[in-house]
Amino acid sequence: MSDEVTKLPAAAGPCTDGPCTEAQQHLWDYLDGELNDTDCAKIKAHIEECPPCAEMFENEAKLKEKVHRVCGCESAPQALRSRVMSMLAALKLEACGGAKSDAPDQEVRSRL
Amino acid sequence: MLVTTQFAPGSIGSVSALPSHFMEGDELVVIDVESETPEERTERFERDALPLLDALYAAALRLTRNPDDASDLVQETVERAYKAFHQFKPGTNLKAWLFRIQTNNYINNYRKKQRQPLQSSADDVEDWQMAQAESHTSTGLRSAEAEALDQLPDGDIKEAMASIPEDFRLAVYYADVEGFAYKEIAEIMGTPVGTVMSRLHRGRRLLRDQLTEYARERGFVKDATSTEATS
Repeated sequence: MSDEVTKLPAAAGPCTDGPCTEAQQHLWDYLDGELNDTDCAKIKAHIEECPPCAEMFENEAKLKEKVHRVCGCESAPQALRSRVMSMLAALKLEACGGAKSDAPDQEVRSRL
Repeated sequence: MLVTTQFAPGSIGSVSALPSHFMEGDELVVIDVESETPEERTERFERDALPLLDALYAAALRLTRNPDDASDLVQETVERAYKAFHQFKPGTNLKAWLFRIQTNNYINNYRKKQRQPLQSSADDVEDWQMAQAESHTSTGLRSAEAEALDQLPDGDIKEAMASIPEDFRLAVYYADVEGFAYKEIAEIMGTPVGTVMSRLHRGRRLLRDQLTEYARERGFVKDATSTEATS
């Protein structure tokens, strides 16, 4: 349409119109699991028959997965765990002691 | 792959006077928060919320970018959550509820304290970035770039995440690392879903640009930017 878009990569571009554009527009909705079943099936069908789009989707999914793996792997330090446990013990004492002090330390199941 | 939990806007975990009924596996669980004893509630808190400590800490690290502050933030989050647990509706999304408490606490009490340069508010660029996102439909990762990014050490990914402005970083973190649905992220961050989507677009692009930069510095990318040089 306009000649403004001159910065597109020179690398062998995949498809740029029709169903490809539509698929690419929904790339993240698809990868984020935000599409309804119908739209999801539509995109999936397109990817299956369009290798350049399939490659693009796969590459983005791979990066998303890498971010997920790397950034979600920190576990709480032991020191924090201990701090939280003793804080909860103190709060528990406060809450339970205040409510009924005669209750022995009996485990009561709350799930019926 | 991603599990999404639906709930009405403004309703994360808000409790009603009626007992909560929900399925846990094949079992119907009924919890009447009104008549629950403090002991029962505490036990339920420990059983349901404590396993999420690692997730809270990982998110706190992304927020504060500092292990000491992250630990303090998590401890305060747990304390606030414990005290407000009677307001949480059993059977709704506890993780999202805890994340919202943590995010609010961070925004209200930590953000000002942190000696980080003032980061531009995402809202300033919303319109612009929406337009950009719309026009960037064909910028999906190409294989050569993807391979280069795949070689990057984990530290680079964490650093790149830390480098992007907070609002964008959080959106990307909640979507990609925690797998929250857009609607849930909107509730956690207190923004409309459209804002979450635009922050995600922009955040992902910033992240990718930063990673590509690292890949170039490490020599993993030969001259992928020759297009820029010639333009």
